[in-house]
Amino acid sequence: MRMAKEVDVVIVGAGQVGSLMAAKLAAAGRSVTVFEAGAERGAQSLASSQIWARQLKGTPGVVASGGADPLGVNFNTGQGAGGSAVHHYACWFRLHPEDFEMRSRHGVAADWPLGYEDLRSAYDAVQEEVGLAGDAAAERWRPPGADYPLPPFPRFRQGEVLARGFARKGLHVSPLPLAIATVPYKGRQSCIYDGWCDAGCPTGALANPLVTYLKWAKEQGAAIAYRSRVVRLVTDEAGGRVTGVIVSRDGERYFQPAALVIVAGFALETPRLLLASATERHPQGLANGSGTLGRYLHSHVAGGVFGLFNEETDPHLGVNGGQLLCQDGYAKPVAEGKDFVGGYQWLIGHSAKPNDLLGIACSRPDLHGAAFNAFMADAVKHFGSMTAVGESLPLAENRVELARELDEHGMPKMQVTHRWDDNAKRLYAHAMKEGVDIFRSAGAREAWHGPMAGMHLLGGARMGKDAASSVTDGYGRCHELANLFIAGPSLFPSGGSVNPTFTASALAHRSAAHIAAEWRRYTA
Amino acid sequence: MNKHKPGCTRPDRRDALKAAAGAGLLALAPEAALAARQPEPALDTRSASLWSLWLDTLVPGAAQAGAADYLQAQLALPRDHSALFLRYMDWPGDYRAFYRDGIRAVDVLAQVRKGRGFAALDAPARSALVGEIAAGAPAPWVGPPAGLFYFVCKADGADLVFGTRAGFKQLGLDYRAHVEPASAWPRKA
Ligand SMILES: Cc1cc2nc3c(=O)[nH]c(=O)nc-3n(C[C@H](O)[C@H](O)[C@H](O)COP(=O)(O)OP(=O)(O)OC[C@H]3O[C@@H](n4cnc5c(N)ncnc54)[C@H](O)[C@@H]3O)c2cc1C
Ligand code: SF4
Repeated sequence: MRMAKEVDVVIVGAGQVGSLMAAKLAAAGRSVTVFEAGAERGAQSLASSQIWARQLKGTPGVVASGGADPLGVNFNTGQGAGGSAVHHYACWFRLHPEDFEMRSRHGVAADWPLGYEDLRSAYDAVQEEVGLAGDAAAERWRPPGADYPLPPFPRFRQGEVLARGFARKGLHVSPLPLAIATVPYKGRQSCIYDGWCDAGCPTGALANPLVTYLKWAKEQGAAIAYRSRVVRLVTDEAGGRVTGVIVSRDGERYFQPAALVIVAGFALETPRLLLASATERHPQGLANGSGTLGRYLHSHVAGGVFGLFNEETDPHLGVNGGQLLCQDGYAKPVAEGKDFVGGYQWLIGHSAKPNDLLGIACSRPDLHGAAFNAFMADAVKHFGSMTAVGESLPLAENRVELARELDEHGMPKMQVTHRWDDNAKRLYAHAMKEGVDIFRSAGAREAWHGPMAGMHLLGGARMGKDAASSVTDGYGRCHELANLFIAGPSLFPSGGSVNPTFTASALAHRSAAHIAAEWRRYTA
Repeated sequence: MNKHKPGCTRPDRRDALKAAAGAGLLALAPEAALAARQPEPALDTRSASLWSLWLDTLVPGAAQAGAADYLQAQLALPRDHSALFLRYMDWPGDYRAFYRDGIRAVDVLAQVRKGRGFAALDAPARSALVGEIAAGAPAPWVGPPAGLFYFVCKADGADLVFGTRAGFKQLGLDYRAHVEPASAWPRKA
């Protein structure tokens, strides 16, 4: 097998966190090569069409997503420059301090090996780098941290109408914090509120990796190798260190030696690669002495609430993520009128396109024929929508495993298994009832809700203090391998009730600084 | 609260049955024009025109918007280049078989219920059949899960009728493309 020239750092995956770590480590003077399974793509490939946008999606290496409540894999993933983050909606939140201590405070899930204060400065640094828009004072639930560098999003009519419903129920809303420029930021244009974010924002307004960390990584000299799938991590004979990776590209396999390897393949691909790298010393997969690799896969439990109003709502205006936020339901304990552990938040007032899974059409799967077309003509003017994002408790049985079938690179494909527990089902039912009530209070002439769905992929390689029950430490370093790190939402022991990318980025930011500072310790 | 069928839920793949080979189908007249446009169609012309009719029943206007061409074009693309809504459903099987078997199951059901193929039914009968399929448990049904087939096809219809520049215009919406798509949907180069 051909051997490439050794580099300091190999990163697997050019998505959000792989790009971030590449930018930071290259800036720290390390030679960095990033391997990305998907293609290179630039802004011009992000066509404004929900039909074309489906080409951005998907992880091809899944045999089946099964279990009682299968997770949506293709919808929740992406491949190519910028990973899933290229078509993400940029709703960026901090976890709350108690999210890090679910086991010790509430007896469920697992504690993180770090607390909010350990991550606070990284949150502050990341938000300054990419530009977050919001109103910190109005977010009464927000943990302490620096003010947002960008002014908050404007409210459009849909936001005004739905805010009325929250106010009448005695609930609070704030502008939604978004990694989208509301005014020009670091050479990027400001948003024009046309709601094409799901198809990938090509203007640079939305802080996806193409205009942030991936761009900066290249500027700092990191090499990005596209259409290059890492099929195996290679260890030394003792099994205590990785020596490099095997890359499959254009039908050829070669060995890329590295002093340190970071796997940033997202929640499914990261455990897949470690499982597929089993050796005699690591018979259950690399870094799987605890048996937890691939397990505790989880997702946020989500549900959409929809309605029609007599007044015009301009549902096409804004961004896909929404206009407003409510975290009044974030408190964790079971309480009167709340029969579940964990909280939820509302993302309010999405800009909705007519078609597609999160578009207006799919909100009424029951209608067809002339009635459906009449609904569409009405709804494009009078529609409102919001989404509950709720906490689900990670279960060991929810997992990624290797399948027998191989992909075109000769790598075992994945089998994904998932079910919701009763707690998540109760949370969903509670939130949907509240959401429909809010719509009615806002004056909706019709209000309904969507099915229980998974949103975001988390876990599968969780971090923890105890090597017997986790895969990595608080920096993402695998307990059993001195120079192997993991980055991304697969590290999350629990996911709180907020979208994960800000936290995954803050974790990666903290880890990159740590690796740079402790380089000798990990590579000697 | 309106109780809507949870159409966005994931399909139950364990129930996904392969259509039995040779399941009874009413022969439809071959459509020479369509065949000429698609020299190597992914679906045979009978299935494509039946699908077009089925889609037009789900979302009126879909046939005229190019339903048959859309499906043929997507099925001709490699799986990871397809723009089909079906991608979101993590359907593990072959995309062509999904549509071919689903259309066939619709036609067989029409035969059993009404003694005529789907194409020969009048509009109210077609609509009633759609309702039964959407409810998810029609019998006999040999094909992909009925509720899933309905849900996916309806989303396809919404793409065609409302998801293109022409569809936006019809709804009175300004398309406001950042990057204009090269065509309404992708096709093999
Ligand atoms: C429609 C949608 C909307 C979203 N909206 C939000 C939101 O509003 N807020 C939020 O916080 N999050 C959101 N997310 C989630 C967000 O996209 C992810 O949390 C984020 O992208 C994770 O970053 P990552 O770097 O871990 O993974 P990714 O960005 O997915 O990058 C992983 C990359 O690794 C590559 N890769 C994997 N395995 C290999 C291998 N073996 N060899 C080479 N390359 C490999 C993949 O091809 C991929 O490009 C959304 C996601 C979707 C799909
Ligand atoms: S709405 Fe704003 S963030 Fe979304 S695609 Fe348009 S310019 Fe980009």
